[in-house]
Amino acid sequence: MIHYFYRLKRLLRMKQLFFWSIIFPLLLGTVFKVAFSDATNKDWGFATIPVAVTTEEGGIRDEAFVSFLKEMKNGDVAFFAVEECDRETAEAMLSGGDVSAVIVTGEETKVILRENGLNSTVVKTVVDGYLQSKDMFVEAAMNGKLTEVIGAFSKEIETLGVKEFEGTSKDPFVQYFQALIAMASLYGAMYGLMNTNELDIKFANVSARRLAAPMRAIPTVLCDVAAAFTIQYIQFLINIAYFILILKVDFGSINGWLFLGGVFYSLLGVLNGYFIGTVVQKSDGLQNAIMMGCTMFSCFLAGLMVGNIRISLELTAPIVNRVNQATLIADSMQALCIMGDMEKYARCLLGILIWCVCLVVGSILVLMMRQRRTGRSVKLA
Amino acid sequence: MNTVVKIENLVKRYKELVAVDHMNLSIEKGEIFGLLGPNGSGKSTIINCLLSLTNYDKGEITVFGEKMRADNYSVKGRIGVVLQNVAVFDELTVYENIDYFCSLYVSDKEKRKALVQEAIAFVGLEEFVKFYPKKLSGGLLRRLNIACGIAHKPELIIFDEPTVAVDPQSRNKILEGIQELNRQGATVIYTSHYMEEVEQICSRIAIIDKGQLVATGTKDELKSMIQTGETIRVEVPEMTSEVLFGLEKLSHIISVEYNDGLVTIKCSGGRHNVLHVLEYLNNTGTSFGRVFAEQPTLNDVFLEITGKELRDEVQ
Amino acid sequence: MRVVLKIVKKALPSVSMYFVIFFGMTIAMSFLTGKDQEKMYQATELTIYVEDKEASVLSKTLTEYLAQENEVETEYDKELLSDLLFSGLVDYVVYFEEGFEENFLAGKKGGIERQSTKPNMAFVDQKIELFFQYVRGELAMGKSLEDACASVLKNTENHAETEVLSGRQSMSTRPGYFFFTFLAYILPCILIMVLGPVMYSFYRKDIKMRTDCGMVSVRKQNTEVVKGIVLVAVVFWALFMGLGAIIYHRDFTPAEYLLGTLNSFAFLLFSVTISVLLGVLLPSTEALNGASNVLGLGMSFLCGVFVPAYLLPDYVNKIGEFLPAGWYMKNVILLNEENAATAHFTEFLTNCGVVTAFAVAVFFVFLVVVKRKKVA
Repeated sequence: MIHYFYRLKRLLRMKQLFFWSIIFPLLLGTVFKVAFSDATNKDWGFATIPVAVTTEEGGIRDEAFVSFLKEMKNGDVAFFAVEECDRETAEAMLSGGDVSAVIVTGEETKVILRENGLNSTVVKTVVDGYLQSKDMFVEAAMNGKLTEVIGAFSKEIETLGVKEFEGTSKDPFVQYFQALIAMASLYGAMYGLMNTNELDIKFANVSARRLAAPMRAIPTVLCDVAAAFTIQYIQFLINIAYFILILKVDFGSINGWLFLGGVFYSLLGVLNGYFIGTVVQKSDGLQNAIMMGCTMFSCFLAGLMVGNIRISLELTAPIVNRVNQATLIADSMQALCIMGDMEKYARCLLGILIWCVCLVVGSILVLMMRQRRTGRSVKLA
Repeated sequence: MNTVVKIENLVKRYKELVAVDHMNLSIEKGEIFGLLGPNGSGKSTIINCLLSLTNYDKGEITVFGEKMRADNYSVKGRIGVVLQNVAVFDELTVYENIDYFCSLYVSDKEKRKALVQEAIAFVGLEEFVKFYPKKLSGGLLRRLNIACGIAHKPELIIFDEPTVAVDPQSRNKILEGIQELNRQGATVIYTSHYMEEVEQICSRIAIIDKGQLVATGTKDELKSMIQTGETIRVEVPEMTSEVLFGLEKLSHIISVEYNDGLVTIKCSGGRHNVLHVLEYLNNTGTSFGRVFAEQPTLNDVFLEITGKELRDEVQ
Repeated sequence: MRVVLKIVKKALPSVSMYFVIFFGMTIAMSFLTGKDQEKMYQATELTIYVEDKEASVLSKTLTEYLAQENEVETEYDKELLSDLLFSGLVDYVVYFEEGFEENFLAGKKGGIERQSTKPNMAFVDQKIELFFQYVRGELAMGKSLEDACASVLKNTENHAETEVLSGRQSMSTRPGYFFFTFLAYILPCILIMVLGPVMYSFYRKDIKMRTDCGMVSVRKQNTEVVKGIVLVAVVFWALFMGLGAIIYHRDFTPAEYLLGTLNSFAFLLFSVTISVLLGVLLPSTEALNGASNVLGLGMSFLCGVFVPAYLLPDYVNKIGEFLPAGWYMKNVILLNEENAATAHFTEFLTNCGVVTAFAVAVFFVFLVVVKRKKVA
C-alpha cells in the first residue's frame, strides 16, 4: 500500500508527465472550443441567401416568380433576400459578394452564381423546380384543365413529416473532443513507460535498488500499474469535467456508464506504455518517440485533426475503426453519450479490453522470449 | 567466524566478453571486505550477480548460508545496497526517499519511522529532510544514497564505489560512516578503484583484474606477496657508475635506477634500508640532497602482479 | 557544426516519427478525399439516404427524383446511419412507411418522414413538397399515378441556364492540398524539436561560459552554429518538398508546385526563427517538446489547417491574421484552386512577404533576448 501511495505521490510531482496528460489536453480543448464554437452553425446553419433578380432586356418582369422566391420560408425565416435591380447593378453586386446569385428572368431564365457551393445549389434547385412547372401548365392549358391543375397545385398540403434525430447532441464537432479524450487517455503510456524503465537496470539507477529489495515482482508491478492508472483516471475526470462544465461542450447525455469507460481508457493507455517499454529496448528517446508517434497517428485516425475521418473510414475501411485504439475510445463515447447505443458501447469496450489483454500477454511473451535468449533476468519488467 | 557470502566458480559472459571468470570469494561475518580493481574489471558485475540483479552463466552464490536467488526474499531482506550511481527518486524528498526504500524491507510503520530517523541522523541530513534531491549538493546526495541503502539495518551492506566524484571531506565522512556501521555489527562489501580507501578501511581485500581474482588477503598479506618492499629515492646531483654498481650490491636491494639526478632504489623487505643506503653514499663521498622513502602500496602489488598501473585507467 | 549535427541526431527518432505521421496523414487524407470525403466538401451533391419500406410507384419516383442531382444511398444499417447523420456525411434521410401512397392519394399526411441534423437542408423539404405539388397537378389532369409520376420526372429535364462566375470550387479539395496544409503543422513542430535543443545547449549558461572561454572566437562559434542550423533546416525542408513532389506532382502544375515551395520556404524561415527563439527562452528540452506540440497544434487549429478557415468564427480568423500560419494558409487555399495562385500572383507574393516579415520580427526578438541574456 505504501508503495502505491509513494508511487502516486511521485507521479503527481512529475511536471512533465503532468503537462502531457492534463495540461496539454486542456489547452488543446480550449483551442478547439475557440475554433469550433461557431463551426456547426457556419457549416450547417440555415441562413437567408441574398439574391438579385433582374429582367432580361426587353423581357417582362415575372411577377409570379418573384413572389414565389419572396414567399419561400423555413419556419419564419425567408429563404431568399430578394433584391430587384438592373442587370449591371446585379452583376456588380454578385462580383462584390453582396449577393450569392443573380437570377435573370424573361424569355429564358438564367442563373449566374458566384461560386459552387451549397447556397448556389439551393438557388439552382429552387429555380429549376419553378421552371419545371412550366411544362405542366402548358400541357394542362392544352388539355383545357388549367384551372383544375392550378387548383391542385396550389393546395397547401404539407405531406412531409419530420423525424427528429435521436442523438442527444447535434454538434458534430464534439467528435474532436472525443478524439482529444482518447489522446489524453493514450498519453497514459508515458506512465507505463516510466514504470517499466524504473524496473530495468539499463534505464534507471533506482531499479537496482528496488530489485535488490525483498519485494515480490508481481505485487510491485501491480502497485505501479495501479498508481499510473489512478492518475490517468483522475486525468480523465478532470478533462471531462473541464470540457463539460467550463467549456460547455455538448457531449450528449453523460451517464454513469461513461465512468466505467474511463476505467478502460485509462488502463489501455498505461498498458500501451508497458508494452512499448518492454518491446523497445534501445533508448528511452526512441521509446518516447514511438509512443508519441503511435498515439498521435492513432488519434489522427480517430478524428483529432480532421473530425470526420472516423466516419469516412467507417465507409471505406471499417476494419481500421475496429482496431484503432483511439477510435475505439472515441466511438464508445459517441455510442454511449450521443447515440445511446449500449450495444455498440459494449462492443467498443470489449475491443479495448481485448487490446489490454493482448498488450499484457504480448509484454509477458516478449519478456519470456528475451529471458530465454539472453539469459538476462528482467523480472516482469 | 561464519561465512556470510560464498561465491564459487562464478562465470558471467556478455556475449564474447567474459566479465567474471571463475571467481571464488568468501566473505566472513564482521569483515569490511574490499573488492579492488580498475574500472571495467568486473567488480560491479560480481555485485550484480551477488544481488541476483543479473543471471550468470556458471557458479553458485550462497548468502547467509542460503543459495541466492532473485526470489529469495528472506535473504534479500538482510542485505542493503549502496550503488555506484545515486539511486533516489527526484520527486520525493529526502525523508520520503529513505522512508520509501525502507518500506521495501520494513512494513511496520512505527518501526520504520524510528529506523528512518536513525538513518537520517547517521548520515547527518537532519536539516535537509524536506529537501528534494535536486537541491542537494553532490556530497549530501551521496549521503542520502547511503541512508536509503542502510535504513533497514541490514546485516550485509554492499557499497559499490560510493565515493566516486566526491570531495575529500565528504569522502572521509563516508568512510568513517562505513567503519561505524561495521562496528555496529554489519558485514560490509566495499568495491572501489581507489586503493587508498581500500587500504584505509578494509580488513580483507580481493584484487580483481579482467574478471579474475588476482590476489586476496589482508593488506599486509598482499604486500608481502610481492618482492618489492620499500622504495627509496635520493637526490644525487652527480653519480658514478661504480657507486651505482655498489648500491646494487647492498643486501635487500632489488633494483637501482638513476635518472635526472634522482636515484630510485627498490628494496625487498629488510630493515634500516634507508640507513644502509645513506651510509654507503657517505662512505663513497657522494653528496646527496633530499631523501624519500615509501612503503609499498596496493598499487605496487597490482603493478607487480598484473604488469599495469591500477590508477589512472581510462574510464 | 559537428556539435550541432550531434545534437540534431539525438532528436532524430522523434523526428522520423513525425515524418511518418505527416506522410501517413497526408496520404490517408488524399486517399479519403479521392473517395467519400468529397461528399462533405462538395455540397453541391448531397448524400441522401432513403429507407423505403413501401416501394410503391410514388416512393420510387420520389427517390428517383432526388437521385437526379444527389447521391442516394439505401444500404446503411441503423447504427452507421446515425453516425453518418451525426457527422454530416449523410445530409438528409427520407423514410417511407407502408401506406404512404394511399395517404397521399387520400390527401392525408403520414407515411413519409424526413430527418436531418442540418438546418440548411430545409430547401430539400421544399423540393420534396414541390414534387408532391407537381404530382397533384398532374393527377388533376386526370392522369394515372404512373403517368403523373412519369411526367414529373420528365419535366425535371427543364433547367435554367447556369453560369458560375469564378469557377471556384470553394469547398472541394485537391488531394495534394493536404500536403501543403499539414506542412503548416509539421514544420514548426519538427524544427522546434530539432533546433530548439541546439540553441538550448549552446546558450545554456554553463556551456556558454565554457565556449566563451574557449580558443574559438565568439563570432566563429556563432557562424558554426548558424551554418549548422541552416544546413539542418534546408535538409529537412528539401526532404519534405522532394517527397511531396514525388507523391503529389500530378496534382499541381510545375508552376504551382514551385509557388507552393516558395510559400513553404517563407514558412520555413518563420519555423526556424521561432525554433531558435524558443530554444533560448525555454528552460529544458521537455519544455521545448511541449511547446512544439502546443504551438504546432494550436496554431494549426486557429489558422484553418485542420478545420477549413471558412468554418471558423470570424474572430478566430482575425486571430489567424496575427499568426504566420494564417497567411501561409491563404496561399495554400489559392493553390487548392486550379490556376488561382498564378492568377493572383501579387496576392500570393504579398502573403509570402507577410510570413517572411513574421520571421524577421521573431528573429529580432531572438536577437534582443540573446543580448539580454548576455548582459544578465
